[in-house]
Amino acid sequence: MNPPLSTSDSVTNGSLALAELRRGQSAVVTGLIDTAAIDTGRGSGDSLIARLRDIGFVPGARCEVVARMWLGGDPIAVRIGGSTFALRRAEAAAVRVQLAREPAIATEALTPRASVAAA
Amino acid sequence: MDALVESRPLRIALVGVPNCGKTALFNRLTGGRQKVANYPGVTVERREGERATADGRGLRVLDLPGTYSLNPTTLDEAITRDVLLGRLAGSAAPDLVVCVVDAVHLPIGLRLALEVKRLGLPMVLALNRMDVAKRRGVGIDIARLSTELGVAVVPTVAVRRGGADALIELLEPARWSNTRSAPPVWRQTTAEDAEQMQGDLRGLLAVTGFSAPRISPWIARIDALLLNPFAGLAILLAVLFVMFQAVFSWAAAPMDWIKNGMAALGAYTTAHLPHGPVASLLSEGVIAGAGTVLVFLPQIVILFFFILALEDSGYLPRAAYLLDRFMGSVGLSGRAFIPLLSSHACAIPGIMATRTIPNWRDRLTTIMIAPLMTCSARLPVYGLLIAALIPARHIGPFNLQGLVIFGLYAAGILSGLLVALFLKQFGGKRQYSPLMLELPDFQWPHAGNLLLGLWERVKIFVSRVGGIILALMIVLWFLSTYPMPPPGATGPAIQYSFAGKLGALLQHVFAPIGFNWQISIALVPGLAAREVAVGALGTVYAMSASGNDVSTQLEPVIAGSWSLATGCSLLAWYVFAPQCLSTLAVVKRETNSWRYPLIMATYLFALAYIAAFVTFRVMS
Amino acid sequence: MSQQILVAVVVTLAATFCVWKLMPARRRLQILLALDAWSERRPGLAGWRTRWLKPRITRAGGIGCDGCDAHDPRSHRPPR
Repeated sequence: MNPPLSTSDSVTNGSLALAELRRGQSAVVTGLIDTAAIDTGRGSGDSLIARLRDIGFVPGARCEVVARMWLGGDPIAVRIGGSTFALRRAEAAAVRVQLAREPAIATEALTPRASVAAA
Repeated sequence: MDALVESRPLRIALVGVPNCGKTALFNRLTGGRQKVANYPGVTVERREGERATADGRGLRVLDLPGTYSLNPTTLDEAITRDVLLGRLAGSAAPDLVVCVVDAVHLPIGLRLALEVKRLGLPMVLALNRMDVAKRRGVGIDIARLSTELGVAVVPTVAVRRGGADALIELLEPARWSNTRSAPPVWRQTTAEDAEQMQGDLRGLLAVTGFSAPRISPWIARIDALLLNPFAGLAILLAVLFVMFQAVFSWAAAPMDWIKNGMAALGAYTTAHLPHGPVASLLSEGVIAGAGTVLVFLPQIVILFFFILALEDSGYLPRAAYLLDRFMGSVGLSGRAFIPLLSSHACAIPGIMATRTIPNWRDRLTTIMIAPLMTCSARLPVYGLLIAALIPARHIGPFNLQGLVIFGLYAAGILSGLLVALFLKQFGGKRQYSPLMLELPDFQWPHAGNLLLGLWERVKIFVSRVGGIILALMIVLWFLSTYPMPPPGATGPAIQYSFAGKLGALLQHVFAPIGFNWQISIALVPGLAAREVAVGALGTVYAMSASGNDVSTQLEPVIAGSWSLATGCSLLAWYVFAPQCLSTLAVVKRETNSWRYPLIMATYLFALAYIAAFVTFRVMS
Repeated sequence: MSQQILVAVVVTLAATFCVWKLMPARRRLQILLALDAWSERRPGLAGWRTRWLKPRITRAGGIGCDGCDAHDPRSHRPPR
């Protein structure tokens, strides 16, 4: 497991990077961090984080790893919000998640039917 | 003043994330009344269409490039934002925005809709693919969504006739005439804005009862197979293989029809017209020239059938996913896959598609190797040479000719990768380039789309043959006929003409690689379009035939007079040679300098010559 | 003799067509604009102007030569 790159961020406590999930595992997003791998200076990491957010990787969102390429999962295919995206390892490393079985930090997810009953 | 405003058409812009069916809806709204141009100053397409309305004012519909957000990461997305804000020269902000959202992928589309709503423009939501959504168990309370969002929401099924009727009803110009108050405002989305929008989105989704779509177990299984590292790559190879086998085996019969038809036409012309320049122009210029190119129509159709089917099914991004690692190892961005794939139809849209690659070095590398991808214009040349020189044998279950063409395509791709690897050495510190590619739902290709696309391709090809190719052949015929040989001269008349003399001159350059003067001449008009070389060979050989029997069958002539070494050398030349001035012009436009097209032309010609040289020497 | 004339006409038309199609886009646009200005002063050509000239001016400014329709956006398939 990769050591968290930003130890002062409470988001990383107890969570994994999306890049580490196995095929078929579901998880809930806890946050996004700007990793060194994607930031090439000039703050380009910000636009990638923003784009990840725009396609649905927000705290509380539920995602599932649909496929992983060999040699360390570069890239992986992730289903989020009903759409499937291919992410490189470095991009997936910027997304922190918690496995769905464990108690999630944010329980409000976008897609469970439970919220419909509650509404 | 009011009367003026009242009478002009209502200007509508269609906005949506990629793959939401926006373009199908656009086609549904505008029918055949579409106009495609470029946005000023950039090579992004501007698709505008018209629709008549009952009150006579009419609609002008603009199909904007798909985008995930109004914070752009590529040029296309920037254009979408700028058009909505009315920033682009020559167009004010639209009167009405139709936000197209795929009901099956509601979250991602609705998020964009929220962003667009913040602009303050009058807006309507078209909830597309409602039929698919219902089938997959997605229930959306449209009325509730409309109330919560504060805009009109209509369901649409863009692919079905009449599927956009609800939307069309809503688009009565009178309804929207006086709704625009202030011009649109936009500012870069901050993290707080994003969080707020996410909160709104969550609320909306909960309230409208959206639940994740059911996935058919079959599709899930197929997808798992396609994305599996081992099975997926094997399937990819198999698909490509089948494609090239089919290009030869399926096309054989129709090609023979056309060939025989051309031969009959030629015979008729020679027999029924008085001997003289007109008969010669028709049979040797037109029929032997343009007619020879027309013969390859079936192969082009089959090639595009596969390309379009693969595109429509959503398979291509999956192939990009599988090959991303390989591309990365030679220094190519993962986003380079789709442009390089488009280059197999034609390098020009491929080069323009590199706009989606944010990193300049990656983009340049991709542009430099795009012409090495075997474009569809090379197909007639390959087809002719393979048919003439490679026996139609079978090795096991495989057609030898199909194998050879597969090999040629593979050679193109491989050389592209090697060149990319070479260029990587000159790169500076490796900048990170993102992938973030959407894998659209895998689906069975839509027959209607496929047929429409094929019909377009047929029209393009035929109009090309009847246009520039025919014109070039006529000019070539002229240059090959005059000046006429002096009385008492021996040998074919063509040797004494402009073309003949030029051919003899060029032959000095091309003799070391085994090209005879006929080939040398044919390469010249081939600079305008690769297929023209085939037509030029047809004309030149038809005119070289002495006696009255003018055969319009090029293949047997080539099979008889060329050595295998010459043929293979020409094939090797065509794999590399930049025989297309248009491509170089596009590169200049996209890179804004003469340096890169010049480098490209030089390195490609050099590679072509070397490859042809080596092939020729090795084989003779 | 009539044959020679016919052939000459056809060849000249073909050559003009080739030159037109293969010339750089900017030059073509210049010629179109010059034609536009010239025909503006001749009301009899108004029909030709709207039908033939104007659409070509909007479409022009494409890329490179017109040798193939690759540069013409109409031939690009829109994404799904």
